Amino acid sequence: MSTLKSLAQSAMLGSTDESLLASAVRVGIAEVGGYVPVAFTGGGERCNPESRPRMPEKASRLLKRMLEGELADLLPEFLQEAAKRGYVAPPETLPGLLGLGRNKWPSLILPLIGERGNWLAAHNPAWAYACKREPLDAWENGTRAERILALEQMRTTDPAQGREWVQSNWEIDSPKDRAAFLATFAIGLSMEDEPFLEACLDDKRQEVREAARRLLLRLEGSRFVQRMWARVKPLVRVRSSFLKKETLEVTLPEELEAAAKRDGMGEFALPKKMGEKAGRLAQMLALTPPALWSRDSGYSPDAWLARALTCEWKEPLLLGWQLAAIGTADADWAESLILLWMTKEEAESLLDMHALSTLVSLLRAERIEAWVTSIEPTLSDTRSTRAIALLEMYQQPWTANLSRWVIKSIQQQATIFHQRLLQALPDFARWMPPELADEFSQGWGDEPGSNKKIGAFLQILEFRNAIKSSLEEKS
Amino acid sequence: MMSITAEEVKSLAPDPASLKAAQELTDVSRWVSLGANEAALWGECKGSVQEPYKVRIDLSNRGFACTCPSRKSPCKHVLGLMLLVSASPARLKETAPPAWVSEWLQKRAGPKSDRAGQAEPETAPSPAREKDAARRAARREKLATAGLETLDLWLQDLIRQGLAFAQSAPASFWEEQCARLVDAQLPGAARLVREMQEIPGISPNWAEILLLKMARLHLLIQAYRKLESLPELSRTDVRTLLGWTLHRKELLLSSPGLNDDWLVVAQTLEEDEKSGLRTQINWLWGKTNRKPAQLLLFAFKTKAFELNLWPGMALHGELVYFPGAYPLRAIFKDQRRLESAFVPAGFPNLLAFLDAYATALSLNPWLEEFPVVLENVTMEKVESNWLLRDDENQAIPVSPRSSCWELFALSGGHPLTVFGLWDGFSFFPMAAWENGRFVRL
Repeated sequence: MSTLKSLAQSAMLGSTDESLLASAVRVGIAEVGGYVPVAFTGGGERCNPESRPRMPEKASRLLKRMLEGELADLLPEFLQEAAKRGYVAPPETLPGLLGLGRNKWPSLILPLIGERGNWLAAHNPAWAYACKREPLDAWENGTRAERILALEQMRTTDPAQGREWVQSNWEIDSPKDRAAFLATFAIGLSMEDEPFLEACLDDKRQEVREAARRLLLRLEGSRFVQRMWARVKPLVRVRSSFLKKETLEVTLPEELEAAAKRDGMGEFALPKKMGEKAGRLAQMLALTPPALWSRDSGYSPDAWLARALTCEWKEPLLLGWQLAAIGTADADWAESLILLWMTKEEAESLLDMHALSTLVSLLRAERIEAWVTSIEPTLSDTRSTRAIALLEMYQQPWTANLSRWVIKSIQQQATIFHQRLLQALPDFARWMPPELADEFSQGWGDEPGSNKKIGAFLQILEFRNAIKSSLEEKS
Repeated sequence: MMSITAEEVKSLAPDPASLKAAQELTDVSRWVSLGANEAALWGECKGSVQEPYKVRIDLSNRGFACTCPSRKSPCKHVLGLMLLVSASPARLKETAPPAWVSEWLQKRAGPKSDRAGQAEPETAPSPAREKDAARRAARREKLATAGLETLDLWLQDLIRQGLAFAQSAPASFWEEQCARLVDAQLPGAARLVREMQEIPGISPNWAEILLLKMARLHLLIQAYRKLESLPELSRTDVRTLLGWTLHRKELLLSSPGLNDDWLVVAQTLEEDEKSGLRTQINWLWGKTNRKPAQLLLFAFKTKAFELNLWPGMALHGELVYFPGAYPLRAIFKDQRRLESAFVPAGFPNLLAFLDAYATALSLNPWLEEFPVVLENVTMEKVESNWLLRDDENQAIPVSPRSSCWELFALSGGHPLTVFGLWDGFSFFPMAAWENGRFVRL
């Protein structure tokens, strides 16, 4: 007896049977009409109920829109805010989230997937990273990314345990992996890590030694910092005189001893070219916590920088301090360096401009507010030009006052300064407090939608406001 | 005057090119004058010659005339005026008709006014108009017969050549056949051929799916040949499938409606790139009668649809089905939005659903998509295959091209209510309810 399948097979390579279509009508319609379901065996495996609440319906809808591509840049903010409140994502968004998490933001996505997400991930090898597993299992058997993720989590809850994990596999792991694992020690870093890190300075691989130095620099009590400070302190001194202004007396370091080489002198790559000896000084400064200078002498970072500018060796001094401020995330020194860049034309040639935005990220929002709101927008000077660049680089939450000042300034539209601010406006929307969206939609004179920049700005800010209020709603 | 719809204009257009050209004439700046009253629409359209073309449309019976030299009937100017009205009726101010319109209307009404004093209802066709319509209908039947003959030969050719050829055939192989069917005023048959083009390679059993589609077309041609011997509803099915359209106004007047709460369970959108016509396909499900309905809405480009529907929305209203042996397509006679939606009640298990499908197919063998709400089904993954299982452990395959993972995630091993389309081979889920929450898939 023929079936639709057998007819299709005979028609596949051509058939001269003129009644084939007629047979297909008869057989085909009868076949689909008489469809018999298959008996299902096995399976029936159910997912455990969720212990945490699902995010509110409004938030779910926003999440879906972002997963479909609308303002997808705002996803990290959304994920973070939702995780902060302990929410899990609705199940139908999980395939999208898990797919995204393979390439982007896994540590932001994982807290939101809940029991259902773990269960789902177990059914798709591509989502293995999201399976529920013992941290130790992930550490011992996972891929590189999974191991780093497990280690980061362990460093958050039990840094000592995390350190022991790394130590126990130290001989087996590749140097590249070792350096990456060491980098996670930035989480929960303490003097307890110091002996191991100190030992790492003798590692055969440069990337491991570099990773260890970066961490030791942040531990003021470490032997490494003590040695660096002893080495560099005598080289830079304040020379006071009754008649002249105070300046710095700098001695450039001569040949390096073996101990200094072990601490990374000569290995540390500087982003700017300078003389050999000057370069050595910059390296030493870069590997010394800048806070030690201000604390030891009683001079503020501003005072140190002002004196450095009058000195012959200002180039290694400023570059070294800039790198040290970044390496130790020192907000005081970062602020002084940025203030210098805003007020002194020559600072541009002395600092590493590529690392300027990293320096800016260390700044406190109140400080930015104080600087920017005090400028005189009618003047088109270095300071106002750089203020705009500063705002563009400061990709962190702004204060309400700063946001209001910027919007008011643009709305007055008086000078070239305001024109430039307007051009940068859409990017600012990511950092202003979202609850100001309503306030900022007013006062634009004619229709705010008539200007593309203002329209894009309001769209982003309003979307962020929707995110915030949707998550604050009761689920 | 408001009753002209984009759909109607589409059905009147002699070819897609006219429709596209007409779309450009919906710009008011192309018109020197525009006007309307309860009997007619008229306008003067700027053309390539100095004198604008005079366009007239008789609203009582959709008669039309235009002074342009085009051989197409209706021409783009007539279609353009209709489209303009369908999109924005308010654009045409009610005024007294100019002489060139009123004289034309009088001439059309001529035979009627000859028999003065004889009161006739306005809708009753005059003998002359009836004759006219009969002549047009006969011409269309003749065109259709010829068009279907070539289609049958084409199908036989494809069998002789082998289905494997369909996989490598150039686009022109399908497009030429489509164009021929459009010329033969069989847009429905053309759509079926266009759908055939998508099948090769779609799934491991594509040859079976293609062969069944061809068989259905073959059956359609056979049915058209002996149309007179078919029961009335099947006759309507055949004509609708081939592309004859029913006027909505007639339908609303002639048929009783079905009163219920209706839930919009799914919505898809198709866009014809050539003409810019957008077709919104809405699937509805009745709360108490548990019946499905398909509601199509049409609009050009960025114009709004005449009803604003979205998945998950509930309405109360009287729905009128287009006649057919297994009626699905419907329009609202009246409707209002309901504040709260509901979870639809469907089939309790897969056997009951498959029974209903068998019955539907025996009534309308051309039924390709069977809309269904299934209760208490669980999504299962068996190796790389997807199945929907009921609580009696019967299972049907789920199309791998649907949102399988989303439904799987939503189910999590627990039973759900699901809406989707069954094509006789696999189920295509489009919506699901998780503890009363509607989820679009």
